[in-house]
Amino acid sequence: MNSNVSRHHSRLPEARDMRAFAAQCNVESQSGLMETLVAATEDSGTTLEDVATRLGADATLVKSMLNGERDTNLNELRMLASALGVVVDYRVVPASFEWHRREQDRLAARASRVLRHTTYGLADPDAIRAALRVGGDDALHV
Amino acid sequence: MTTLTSRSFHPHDSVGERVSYALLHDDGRPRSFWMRPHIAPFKREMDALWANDLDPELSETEYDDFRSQLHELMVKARQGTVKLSGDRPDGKVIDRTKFIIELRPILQRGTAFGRKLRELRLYLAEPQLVPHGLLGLHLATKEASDDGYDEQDASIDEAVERAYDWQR
Repeated sequence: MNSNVSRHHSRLPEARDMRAFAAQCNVESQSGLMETLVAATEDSGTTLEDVATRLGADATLVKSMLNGERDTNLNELRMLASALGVVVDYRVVPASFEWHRREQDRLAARASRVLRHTTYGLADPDAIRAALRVGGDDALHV
Repeated sequence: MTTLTSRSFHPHDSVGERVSYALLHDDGRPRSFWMRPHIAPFKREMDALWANDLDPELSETEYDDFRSQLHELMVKARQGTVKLSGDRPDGKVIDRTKFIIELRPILQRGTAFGRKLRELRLYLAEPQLVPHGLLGLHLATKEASDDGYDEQDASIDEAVERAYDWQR
């Protein structure tokens, strides 16, 4: 794993509730991203089997990815983060780094951009459900 | 005796304008709105998405992701800020129909965890009969590869039929 990764985790009391768990991190490389996800798995108290079930994937396969024994593609990274309820906030990376322009980090930059969408997965699901399903012209005022 | 019935749909003159060009009330609220009540089968599909029951091939994680992304796109449509062209568009006007608009959550083509991925599409129209109205027609999934075109065509056909039925 790349040691040049800064990571800020919130060990929240409710961390065992996977949906409530959130981690913010600076992502400076793809390996750092995976390292963060591994840490998030441990912090959330979620079992590997739970994560695999949420992903519709084989637990052995997920374990091999988290161990770094098997490469992951962007889809898998994104889905893994979503399954863990991780928020990757790439906006905290100082613009002066311009790390996303470096060839070796281009993939991580893409991943963090895609992963940002998982932020919305942490919105109150009941509020979203109500906004979309309850009748009335104002139903989509969110 | 043969009865001829007209099957047509009359869209807003500039298709795509309501979802992609923000028209606001004086107080800043968007003019576009999602029409109620929903077309019944479309509502059932939305309910199925929320019940993790739209497509047996989707995982719980994908359902979560699609719900949040679709919500974002539906809000953008209402606000008239959907990007219909350029880099990474939010959707497009389906060429062969000229009036069906698709909203597409972020593309995730290829495979993950050893299986082929699926994509979600929401098909809607902008009926001339209802100023500023957005009519949800069909919510469907398709394989996230070139093999998904047949499924996509069938979904578009279904959306067109529902639009015709609504206009009748």
